[in-house]
Amino acid sequence: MNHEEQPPNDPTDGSDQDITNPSDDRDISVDQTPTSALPPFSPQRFDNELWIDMAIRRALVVVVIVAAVCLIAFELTSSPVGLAAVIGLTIGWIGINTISANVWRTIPPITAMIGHNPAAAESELAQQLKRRPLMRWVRLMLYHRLASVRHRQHRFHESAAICQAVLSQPLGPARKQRGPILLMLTEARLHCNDLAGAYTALLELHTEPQTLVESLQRLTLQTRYEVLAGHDRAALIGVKQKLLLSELMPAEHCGAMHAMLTTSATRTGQLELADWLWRRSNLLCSPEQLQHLVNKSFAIAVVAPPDPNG
Amino acid sequence: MTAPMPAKPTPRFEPPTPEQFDEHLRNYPANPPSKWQARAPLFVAVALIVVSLLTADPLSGLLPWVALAWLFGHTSFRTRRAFAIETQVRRTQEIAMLRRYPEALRRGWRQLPKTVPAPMLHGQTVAMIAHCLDTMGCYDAAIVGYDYLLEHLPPGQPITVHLGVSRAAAALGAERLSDADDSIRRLRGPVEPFENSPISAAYRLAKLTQQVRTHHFAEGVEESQGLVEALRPLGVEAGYGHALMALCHYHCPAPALDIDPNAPHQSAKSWWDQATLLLPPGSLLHRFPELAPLTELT
Repeated sequence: MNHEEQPPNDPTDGSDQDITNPSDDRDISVDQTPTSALPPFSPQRFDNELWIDMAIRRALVVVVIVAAVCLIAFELTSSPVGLAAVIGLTIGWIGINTISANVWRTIPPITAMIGHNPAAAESELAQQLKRRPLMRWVRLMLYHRLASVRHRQHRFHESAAICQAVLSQPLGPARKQRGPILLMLTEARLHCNDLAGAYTALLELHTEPQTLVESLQRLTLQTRYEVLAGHDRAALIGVKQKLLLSELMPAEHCGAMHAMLTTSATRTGQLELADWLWRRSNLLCSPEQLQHLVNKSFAIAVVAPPDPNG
Repeated sequence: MTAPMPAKPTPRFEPPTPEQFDEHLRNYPANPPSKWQARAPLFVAVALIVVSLLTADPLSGLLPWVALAWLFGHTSFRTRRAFAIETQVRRTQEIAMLRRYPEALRRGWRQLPKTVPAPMLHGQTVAMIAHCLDTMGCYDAAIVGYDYLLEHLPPGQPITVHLGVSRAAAALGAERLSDADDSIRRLRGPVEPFENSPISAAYRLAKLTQQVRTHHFAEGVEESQGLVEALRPLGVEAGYGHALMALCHYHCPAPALDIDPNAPHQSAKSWWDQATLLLPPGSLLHRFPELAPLTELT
């Protein structure tokens, strides 16, 4: 089965309906800053940290070159002093890279911690971010995890700002993380009701190679964007294939997809389809789950089809 | 030796037998490298440096560089190889998720020897092969895979409980009713902490399957309260449970609901409608042929 689909419609296009504004119902606590181990994200500080890392590493490269030139110029290459200098520089170089390697090793446990204890994950990230010099991509991955923590804490503006800052840098060996970062950015922007920003991120997502799970996440985000932006006809294009793919998602998300498509089908007057989708979504999600997903997680006011029994 | 399997899935494709799967697992068990094996390249590099320090040969000055190049080259090769295997395993899991089971099964079968040094990838591959066999109706072969995993994984973990439930369901599929009964009884306690999760939902479905397979339809009807909520975490696969409940009601009509002699089996019809809302009748009948009488209700 091909899980590629069409890119989203531009939010400035003529939409099928007025754009739904769900801001009243959403649970965005961006401005509620709980006690944090880390201060709110600042692009200036982010740039400074990257600059300091780079400066230290480049300084070491300069020292190595100067030492090599001196050893050759003073004919010390075969003397014990020369050997000691080479060994010292090698150990120094390995030592500096070991800092990055050690920090890199802490990332998987931090990632696992984010799910059940974001506060502990944040404290650990605060410790690791203090270490320097780090390789650029290692620091960027720490910031990616910080964005996940903020996302988890529903501080979506900050999460989006971090994702954007990370994506503006070359990711090097971590370039495969670009897709997941873009997914987080899209979701954060949708939560902030920044449809134009979400559209840009979705377009970029369509150019990234993705795993099946990432494609499913993108499908959910794109449908959510289309329903929020009022592009109901676009949301219903290839509805059969979208439903088949949604069946691979966890039950709650599958039910939420059905609920979103119900909204589009009702708005476009396809009441038979809307009724079928709504009955399925009620089997896949409990009323509480639907309420939570729709009003809090997905921020979409579901339009259920009229009851045929009156 | 790898047990032979057809090169491409064909209409005559035959999945491995339990004996073949067992032999494959015995030939390729998970075998991570020991600490010393993992550090061997470093020892080789150190030995080369020591040799260069101890000899006065002009060529020996090159040995430290050879050692560094060897260390770098070996580490890079090993990393790239591990990454390639991980990518292959993930791709195969995606194929299985997309329900292309014969293809996923063949790929997994061939990948298993490559995953021997990585126990996690090995376990994932065995679980994927067992799942494919289970879904294709080769329950005895699937049980071989589940047993292997249950033997090698620490008990009490969510994955172990889930595998235990899958094993019990496969035993029911294979008509090993007393074996399934034992498993279901033993799992009652371990499943409790996983309320409202796919694990507890799969356990509920296995119990319902057991009631149907042992013709305890009345017991099934008695326990129908809260079934929709209990099966919800299974997603569309909850349809199997709704269909089995329809069968229970079909064989044991509820007196309060099925009082109209002109419209018999109303409660069975209602459950069957829910089942077919989630899954096509063909899929339901493929997994549970005993549901055939219910097709008259539509």
